[in-house]
Amino acid sequence: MIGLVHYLVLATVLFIIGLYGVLTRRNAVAVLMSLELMFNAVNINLVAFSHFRPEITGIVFSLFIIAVAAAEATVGVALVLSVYRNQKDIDLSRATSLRW
Amino acid sequence: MTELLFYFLCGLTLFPALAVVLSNNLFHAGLSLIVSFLGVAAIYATLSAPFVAGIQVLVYAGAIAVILLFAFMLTHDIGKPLEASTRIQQSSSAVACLLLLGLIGRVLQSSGWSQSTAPSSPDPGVTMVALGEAFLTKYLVPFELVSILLLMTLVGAIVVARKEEQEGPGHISARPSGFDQEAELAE
Repeated sequence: MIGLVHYLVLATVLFIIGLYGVLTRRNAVAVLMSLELMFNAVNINLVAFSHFRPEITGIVFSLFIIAVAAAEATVGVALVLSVYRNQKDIDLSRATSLRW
Repeated sequence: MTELLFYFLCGLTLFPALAVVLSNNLFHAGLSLIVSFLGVAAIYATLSAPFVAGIQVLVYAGAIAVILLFAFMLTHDIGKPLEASTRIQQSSSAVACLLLLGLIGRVLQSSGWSQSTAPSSPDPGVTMVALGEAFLTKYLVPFELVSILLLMTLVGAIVVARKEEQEGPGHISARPSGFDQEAELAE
């Protein structure tokens, strides 16, 4: 029988995979992709809780998260393009002009 | 049967996710990202949240994945492989991730949630009517704030991403942008 914990474990593993990508990738677009994986993991948690303790709040929050993630991806991509225009490279380890 | 479906969907979500994180070719990573998003959408469907599943397909698999692929193709030569991070970065990140995995696993073990199973009566799922009513009554303010957020994102993304305007004739703007900031920082 598939219970709540199965979904929580799935979400945890997905979150960890995304975290590993954020920590190891050097290309800014790849980091954004890994971030989206982490958003998805959190959403699975919310929807799973909303299913197993029948309540609508989890689903409402997951929809808000999807909207905010779309906004985040848009601004992130705009920043990546801006960085690319300035230094012809989106390697995060070389984007140091704002570093003190 | 449901077990089989669940584990199949887990595989459909997690293996493409691994490919997203580990693949050397970022274009393949983006395509795997779409597959992973579709797997997550199917998981929402098994959790009796068909509306979230539909939105997931529209927004994530449709819009966000395509935006990311576009950004990648605009900024990177597809044929070139990605630069990998150093061994020490990879190993220390892996250790940190495994530690966090162990911590969350420990929390899950001690939480007592393993007893909770699906609601006994066949759950009709959250209906669209209930969802719409919640958005327009209890969650009205956040709902409207999200629309403002999306508008600000639209304007902000255009402002950040567009080319800097040429200044008036006669003004010297031949310097590469970003150069003067660097000079200021160097002082």
